[in-house]
Amino acid sequence: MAFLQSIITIVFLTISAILPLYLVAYIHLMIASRRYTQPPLKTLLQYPTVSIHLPIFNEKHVVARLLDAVCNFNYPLDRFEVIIIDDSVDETSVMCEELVQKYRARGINVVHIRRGDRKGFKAGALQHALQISNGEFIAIFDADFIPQPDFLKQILPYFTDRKVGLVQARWGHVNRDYSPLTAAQALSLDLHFTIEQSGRSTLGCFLNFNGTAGVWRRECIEDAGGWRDSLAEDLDLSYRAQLKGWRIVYVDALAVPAEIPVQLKAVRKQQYRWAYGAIQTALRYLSQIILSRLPNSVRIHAIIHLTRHIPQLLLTTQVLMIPIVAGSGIMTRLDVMIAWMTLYPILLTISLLFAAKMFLKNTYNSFLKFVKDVILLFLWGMGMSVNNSLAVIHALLKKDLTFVRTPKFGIVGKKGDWRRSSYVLVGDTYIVLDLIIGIYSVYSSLYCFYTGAYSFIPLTALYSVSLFYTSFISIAQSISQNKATHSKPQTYILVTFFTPFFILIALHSYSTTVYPLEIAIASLERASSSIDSAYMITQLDNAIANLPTQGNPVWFLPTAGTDYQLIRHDLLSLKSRLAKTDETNYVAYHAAVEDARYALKEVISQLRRLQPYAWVSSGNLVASLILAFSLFYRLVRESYG
Amino acid sequence: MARRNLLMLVYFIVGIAIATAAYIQDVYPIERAIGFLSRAQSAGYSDDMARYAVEALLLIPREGNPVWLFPTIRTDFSLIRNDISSIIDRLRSISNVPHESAAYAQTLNDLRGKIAVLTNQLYEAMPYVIFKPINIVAALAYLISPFIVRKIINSAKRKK
Repeated sequence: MAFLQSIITIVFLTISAILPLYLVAYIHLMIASRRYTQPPLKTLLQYPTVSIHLPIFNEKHVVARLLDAVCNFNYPLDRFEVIIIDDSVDETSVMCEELVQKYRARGINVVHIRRGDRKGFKAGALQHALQISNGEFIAIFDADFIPQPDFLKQILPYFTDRKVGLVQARWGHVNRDYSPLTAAQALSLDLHFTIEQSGRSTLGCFLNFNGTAGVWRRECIEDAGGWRDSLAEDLDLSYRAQLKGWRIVYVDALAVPAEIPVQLKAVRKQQYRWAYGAIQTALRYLSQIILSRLPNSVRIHAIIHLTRHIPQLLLTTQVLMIPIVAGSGIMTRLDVMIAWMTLYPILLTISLLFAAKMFLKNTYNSFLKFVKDVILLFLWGMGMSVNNSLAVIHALLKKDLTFVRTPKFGIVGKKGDWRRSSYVLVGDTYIVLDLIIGIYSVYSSLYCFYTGAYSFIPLTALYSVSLFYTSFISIAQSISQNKATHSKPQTYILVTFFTPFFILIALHSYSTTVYPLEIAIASLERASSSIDSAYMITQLDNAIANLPTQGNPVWFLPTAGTDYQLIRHDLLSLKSRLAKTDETNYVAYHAAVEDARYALKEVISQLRRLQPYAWVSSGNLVASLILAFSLFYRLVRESYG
Repeated sequence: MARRNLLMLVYFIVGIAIATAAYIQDVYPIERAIGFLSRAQSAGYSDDMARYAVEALLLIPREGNPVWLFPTIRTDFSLIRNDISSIIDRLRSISNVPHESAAYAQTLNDLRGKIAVLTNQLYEAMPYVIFKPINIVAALAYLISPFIVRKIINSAKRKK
């Protein structure tokens, strides 16, 4: 095998071998999470002092809701303080000041801190708050969270064990049904908490603080070295604390409702930050984890946990390599193996997602709704691949990244408008990259289709659909930010009408163009296996009758190898030679038949090569793309929000 | 930001156009040659086979070995051409042999097998034809160019 092909094969197969490791780890967590039980709860005998830290940056839509929630905690007023670390540069600060006056008048110890700069971003803000606060425990909430009044009373009893450094609550969602985009994110978060956090908790593996809706023991934070400058300050501190021997407890039964971002650009930024932060943390602590004396399962899960965004980079690399792999001739040698290695991560991921339904019985009453959300999650998750791949590369190169907070608009349920807010993020360079790689994936799909490398098509097609889904939503959201956006009935009618129409056209096209070719191929194969020249001639006649008289179905860079007229000419020549052969001259007869068999084998391979082009002609391709676009248009309108 | 996106789109389209042009110039002739060799493999008579082989010969470079890393004689164009030429000579020499004879059929069968081997050799050479050093350097230059332009613009802005 040539050097280039060897390199491609090695890289491609290595990626295929690494990806399942993450799936195996996920299955392990899934099985473990079935055994998850709520940690034993003890009664809160006394009320320890608690500092509630609220890092804020331009949150005018939600700050009042947050302050209202925390100031209404059912907890002795003299045992908790609220510290707002406000880095805002808009009217949020004025709103905060007014709210602080209001709650102070009610006897609540609320402090409003203005740092004057955003040094260290959220980590800097939390470290600042830590230094000026006195609570034995530190509760942290992002601006979009709405904790219940009894939150502290429910969570603090878990600290009776002195080794517990953090208790993390589950995130709930106030706007799951706002759009398909929020539904997909909600499902993703539910799976993170219900399977990953529960599973890690059951196995005694390292857990992570989710940045909000958790309570830290002050002693633990200080022992671990405080909040360190990081894009994932939560993950960073969690790992430092656990490496020092502190325990993290996850409480699945305690949910704190929060708002899911509705603008795709905001989601991209959030995902980018999370991916970057996870790799940043991995680079800091991975060697320490590997060299530690922790049990193997804990170390393996910690490695998988910290590097969980790398599969997206590997997947993107794999998709980019597919046309080279398909065209290199490797497929002919390792067809089954490569086909399986490309397909099974997708199949397994889909199976796992569907299996996850049993964990989300309370969230999903309808299986159809769950299936819809799984599809959306798959589209959205794969659509974020390029974005997250760049974040991983960015972090691996150790280039700096500015903390971009995720804007929240105070959206609850299906209601709320965000388009006129000054927080709307404008411009999105990654759309172009998504589109470019999406188009490349379409090219890959077509290339695989026309070269017969069908096993790659599910991956390339899914990848392109996902990237178009996310990029089209981004485009729609940036073009018409002030327009009302509900799907019009016409869109449904269009799709309802065109889908069966196009299916019928595709079937008709198959029966009139591809099926006759299939009959011709079958006749040639029959002729090849026959010993009787008369029968061979009959089968050749049958094949010729089913072939078009002229033309070349290959519409892009055609060659003589697929020209109908030349194929027919060869078959007629072979037929005339067979007709002249004397069956009684055994040597000449068998030599002629063997030669004809060889030639027929080549004709069959020529017909197999042109078959996909005959079915998906340039016209059919354009029609299919129009259908795909109309389906997309419908989906994008729904996801627009 | 819209201008930036437009520039990226133009950059992408220019890249596709250059890559397509390079493909049509370097690889497509080889693909066409393989097409004619495939025709030769399935032709019924020696005259047709010879005609197709001549067409293929016209499309294959006269000399050189496209494999620039650890090359072997398997992908040497002049040797491939020599083999095709000798096949053509052979085909012409047997055109007068009775078509229903065993000798005619056995010769054609043998030559079909040889053409199949030559086709595989051309397939092996194909990726190297497009990924030749000059093209790789050009592709890298194309990929790096936005970063260089950005650096230049940034430094010009700083100077201002």
